[in-house]
Amino acid sequence: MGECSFEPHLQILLNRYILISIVLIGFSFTLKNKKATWLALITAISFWVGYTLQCDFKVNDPERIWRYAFWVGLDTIYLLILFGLYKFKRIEEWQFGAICCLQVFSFFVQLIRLPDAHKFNYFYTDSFYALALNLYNILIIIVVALPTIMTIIGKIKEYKDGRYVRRNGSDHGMFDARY
Amino acid sequence: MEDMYVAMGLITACLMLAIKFGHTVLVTLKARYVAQGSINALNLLNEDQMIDVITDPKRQAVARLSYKIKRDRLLSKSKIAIANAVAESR
Repeated sequence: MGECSFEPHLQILLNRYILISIVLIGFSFTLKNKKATWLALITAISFWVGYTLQCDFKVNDPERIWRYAFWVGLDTIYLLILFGLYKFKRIEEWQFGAICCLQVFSFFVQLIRLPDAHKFNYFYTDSFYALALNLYNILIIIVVALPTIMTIIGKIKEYKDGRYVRRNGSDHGMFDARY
Repeated sequence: MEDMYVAMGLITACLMLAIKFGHTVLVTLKARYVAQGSINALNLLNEDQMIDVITDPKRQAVARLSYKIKRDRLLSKSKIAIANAVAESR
C-alpha cells in the first residue's frame, strides 16, 4: 500500500489528455465552434476530476473492488452530462454516438477486469487492460478534436480559394454563432 | 466477496445505460441518413411520380420526415440570409 502523494497543479496540467483537451478548448473557442468547445470543456473537466481523485481513491480502496465502479461511475456522469447537452443540441450528434460506443467498450473492459482480479488473479486482462484504457482515452481525444480539425481545414480551403469573409463564416460548425 | 457482486451489478447498470444512449443516437442518425437519401430521391422525381410517392401509405412517413428536414433547412437558410442582409445594411 503506497502513500498517495499530492501532485501540484502544474503537474496535473502536464497530463497529456488534460493538456490536449485544454488546447482544444482554446482552438475551438477561437474558431467560434461552440459545439466543439462544449464537448472539449466537459471532456477536460472529466479527465481532470478522474486524474485528481484516482490517487486518493486507490489509497482508500485496498481490496481493489470499488475503484472500477468508481471509474465507471465517473464515466457515466460524463455520459449523462453529454446526453443533456445532446438533448439541447449543444454537441454534435455523431460525436455523442461515437462517445457512447467508446463508453460501452470501456465499461465492458472494466466489467471483465473486476471478476478477473479476484477470481483469476489478473490472468486474462493483464495483457490488454492498460492498452485498452489508453486506446479509449486516445479515441475520445480524437473524437473531440475532429470538428476543430475540420474547421481549420475549412478555413485553410477558404483562404486558398480567396473567399474568406470574416462576418460570413456560417459553415463548418459555426452555425449557432449566427443566431 | 459480496462487494464484488454489488460493484459488478453497478457496472452492468452503467453499461446498459450507455448501450441505451448509444442505441438511441445511432437509430436517430440512421433515420436522418435514410431521410437524406429520400430527399435526394424526391428531388429527382417529376410531378406525377411525386404524387405517387405521397399517396403511397408505406412511403408517407419517410416523405413527411424528409419534408420536415427540408423545411428546417429552408428556414435556417432564410435566417442566414436575413442576418447577412442586416449585417450588410449596418
